[in-house]
This record gives sequence, structure tokens and C-alpha cells, in this order.
Amino acid sequence: MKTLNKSYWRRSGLLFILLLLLVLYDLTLGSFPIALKDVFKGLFSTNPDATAELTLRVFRFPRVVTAVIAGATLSLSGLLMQTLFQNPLAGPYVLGINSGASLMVALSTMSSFFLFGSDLGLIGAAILGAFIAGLLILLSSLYVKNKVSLLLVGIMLGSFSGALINVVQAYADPNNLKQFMLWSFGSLQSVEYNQLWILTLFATAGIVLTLLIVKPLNLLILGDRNASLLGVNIKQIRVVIVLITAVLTGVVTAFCGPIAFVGLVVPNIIKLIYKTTNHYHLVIGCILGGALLIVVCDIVMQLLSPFLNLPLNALTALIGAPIVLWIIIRKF
Amino acid sequence: MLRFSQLNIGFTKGQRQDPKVLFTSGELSFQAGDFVALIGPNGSGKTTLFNTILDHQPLLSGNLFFNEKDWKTLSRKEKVKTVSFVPSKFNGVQHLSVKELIAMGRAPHANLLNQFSQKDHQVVAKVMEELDLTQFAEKDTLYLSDGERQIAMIGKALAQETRIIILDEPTAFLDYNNRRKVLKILQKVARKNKQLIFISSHDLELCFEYCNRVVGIDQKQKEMCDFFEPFHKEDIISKIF
Repeated sequence: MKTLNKSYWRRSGLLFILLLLLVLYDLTLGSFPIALKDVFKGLFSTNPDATAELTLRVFRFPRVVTAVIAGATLSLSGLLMQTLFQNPLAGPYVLGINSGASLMVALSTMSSFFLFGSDLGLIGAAILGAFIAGLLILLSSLYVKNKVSLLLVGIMLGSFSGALINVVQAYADPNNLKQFMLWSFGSLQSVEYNQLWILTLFATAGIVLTLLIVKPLNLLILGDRNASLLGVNIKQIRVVIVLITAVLTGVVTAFCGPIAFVGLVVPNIIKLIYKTTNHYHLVIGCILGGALLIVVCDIVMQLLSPFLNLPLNALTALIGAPIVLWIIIRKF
Repeated sequence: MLRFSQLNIGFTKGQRQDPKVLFTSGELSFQAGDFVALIGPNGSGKTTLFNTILDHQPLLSGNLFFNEKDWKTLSRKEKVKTVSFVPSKFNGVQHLSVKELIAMGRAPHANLLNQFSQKDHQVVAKVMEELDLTQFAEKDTLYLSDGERQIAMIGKALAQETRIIILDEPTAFLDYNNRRKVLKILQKVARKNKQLIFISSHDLELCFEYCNRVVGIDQKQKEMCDFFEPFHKEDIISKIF
């Protein structure tokens, strides 16, 4: 058992080192290259005159931190959904939880009903939307027992909020509409330096809460009934899981747009690498793996940017869709 | 240790209809160390009785006592430390090892973060040794044979260290050898650990051989019939089936 634990830590360590190297590399990329030694200088000194250091702090550092946080939180919510519904194809995007958040963001940015002018207002709206969508899915899961049917319910939920978003768009002011369209492509560059703390705060809260429910998560894999006979309060834990997922998904969606596939793909790959059901290690793995995936996406986007402007959402779908197909072929 | 007092076992269909009572228990009490087989035709209410004890279904009327304490007054925490359950079929979970499965039985005793005490580790090791599972410790529960997996699930229940263990048709999916093996293990556990064990089963011959008590559900009279050793097979079968 001890030696096994060590091997999980070794895997997490490797992922962490890889992530660190890619983060540093990503920081050198952008509209103009910055040498690695200037990256360190920019991170630890606050000389306002040096252009490189200023660019680093104002543009690149927020972009890369956002990439790390977005990846970590989305894949963690994917893991939570997969454990809750005992379904390897569950994730915040396919279950329509992202769409709930998007709908609320659409309402707040484009309509006069929701005057959530501030960042916190927007995040609050997104989390609320994600939470409501999560509760709807939870409610349907009590009636829809078939795993694939539940995904169809999620897709319907997504289409329904998509239609409502269309209605809002039809009446929207052109400027707001443009802003919303850009948001919906998914971007890591919309978080400013002084907004980073909000993102970090919510993400940390979600991660800490997840680590606190590792024990019930581990028991849930035996099924609801067995878990409840081992002392898990099923009704309570379901709502807690949906709430944590809403916070994690909502805050990232509010800032970066609806990012697809990360939540579905990363937990599956992590389970393949770690070969365990212990959520303590899976949570750490998903945080590192998710961050790694989005940082890689960002590096690809930065490298391609002189030739091609690839939106984040297109890139995650290009990587994600084939992997999902592969999971379906293997498991169903 | 466990006493049924005029339990009405059944279920409610919808909210307005009257509950459908399957049978009444009468007065029955079970002692520590009893290995009880619950027999009866399909649909007679064996599973419903278990579900009622496990709180998955409401008790229609009557009282259930554990050590003379009303079952309803026990908290969820007390209950999971009192009764454990083994379903008739567990399919295994990929990447979940036998040892991890058995360790899950310690969950009601461990703290919020599931940190194990010295005692928890000892219990898991002891159970694995008793059930001869040490060689399978790191094996994936998905790739065990049905017999091995059933014994591993029994191990989880034993690690829970409850006074009562309920097994729903533990032999239903096993071959002849594994049926005998499972029942032999349960008989030994009941005697040695002074635990009260209930199984439901259709393997009458094996129940008569290993259990020290057989409780049948008489569908015509809607009541439970208690039989002690030595069992008179013909009488029991003609009464129950």
C-alpha cells in the first residue's frame, strides 16, 4: 500500500514538473518573445519601466495563470460529475451545466433585466446558472437511469438554454452582441491582473471543498445504495457535489467562456494513468492534468497565432472530440 | 439482540392508496451468533424485509428493537455501525483493489478525511487473513471471479464490524463449491464473532445444513414461521411453498 501511494506521488510529481516547464515556456510566448531570464525578472521585480517585464505582468502572467486555473477547475468538475453519475462520459459541458452558466452570462451582458455590472455579479450569475442546470440534471437522474439517456437530457438542456440565448441575442445591442460572441469562443486573455485574485479565490475554495469530500466520493463508486450503507448521506452529498461543480464551472465560464471537452477528457486520461479509484490522487491528478492540457492549448494557440487565429473552444473540441469517440468505443 | 414486534412488512404504492402488507412478523427475537436463513417464494417479501431494516423502505407498523432500543431512535451513524449489507451481485469497479474494497468497510469508523487508525489497519489485515484473501490484495475487483468477489464483499462487511450482517441471496450467482464455501465462512463468522447473520436464499438444502435457524414467509397466512434445528425439510417446504 505504501509503495503504491509512492507511485501515485511520483506520477503527480512528474505531471507537476512538466506543467512547471510548460508554464515557463508559455510565459515566453506572445506577441513578441521574452527570454526566460527576463521572465524570472518580470515575475519577481516590479520595475515599471522595462517593457518586457510590464508585458509579462500585465498580459502573460494573467493569461497563463488563467489557463492553469481554467484547466484545473474544469477537469475537476468533470471528475465530480463522473463520480456523481457513475458515468465516464459525464462532464460539465455535456450535461448542460456550462450552458446554464452561459445563459446567465448572456442575460447579464445583453439584457437590461440583469444589471450585473461588476465582476462578482457576473460570476454570481454564472454560478447560479450552473447550479440551476446542475440541479435539473440531478433531478432528471432520479428518473432517467440509463447512462446514455442522461447525457441526452444534458444535451437537451444545452439546446434549450442555447435557444433562450438566441432569443436574448435577437434583441441585443450590437456592441453587447459582439462582446458576447467573442466571449463564447473561449479566451484566456480576458482576465486582467487585478481580477486574478477572484478567479484564484473561487478555484481554491472549490478545490479545498472537493478535498474535504474525498471520502464520500470514494464510497460513491460502489453505487448510491452501498455508499449510503457505509454512512454517506446521499441526498446531501449530491447537492454538495453539484454546488462545488457550479462554483468551479461557473467562475471559469464567466471569465473564459464555455470551454468544452476538458472536463470530460482529462479525468478519463488521469484514471488511465493513475489506475486508482482513490479520489485523493484523482483530484490532484485532474488539477495537474487539466492545467497541463489548457497550457498546451495556449502554447499551440500562441505558436499558431502569426498564421491562424484559433479560438480556444475550437482547439479543445479538436483535441477532445476524437478522445471522446475513443472512450465510447472502448467502454460502451 | 434484534427483536421484531408485530412488524408489518410491505410497501406503499403512490401516496393515496392503502399500503400493501405482504406479511406480519409476529414476535420474533434473534440472538448474537444466530445464522438465520430467510426463505420464501419469489415476491413473498424477503428483500422488502431487508430493505425495511436497512431504512430503504419505511416500516408500515410495528416495532423493531436492537438491544431493546427502538430502531427508529438510532441515528444514521449508529445504524451503519450496527448493520452491514452485502448485495447479491456486485460487478466490481475498475482499478479498485480487493484491499481497498475491504478498507471501505472501515469508513463508518474513520474520520471525515478517512484517515485510518492503527486499529483500522489491523482489522483490514485480520479480515483478509481470515477470508484467505491476502493473495488477492492488490487484484482489481473487476477481474475477480464471482466467488472471489462475493467473498471480498463479505470481507468489506466484516471489516465494518457490525453486530448484524445482512446478505441478500449471497449464493445466487455462485457455483456449487463457492456456495458451500460462502455459507461455511458465514457459519464460522456467526459462531466465532458472535455476529447475527441474515441471509435470504433459495438453496434450501444448504440453508438447512449450515444455518442454525430458518425463518419462512408463509404467503397464505401472511406471517413468518420460525424453525429451529433439527429442521424437518418436508414440513417446512409444505408450509412455505
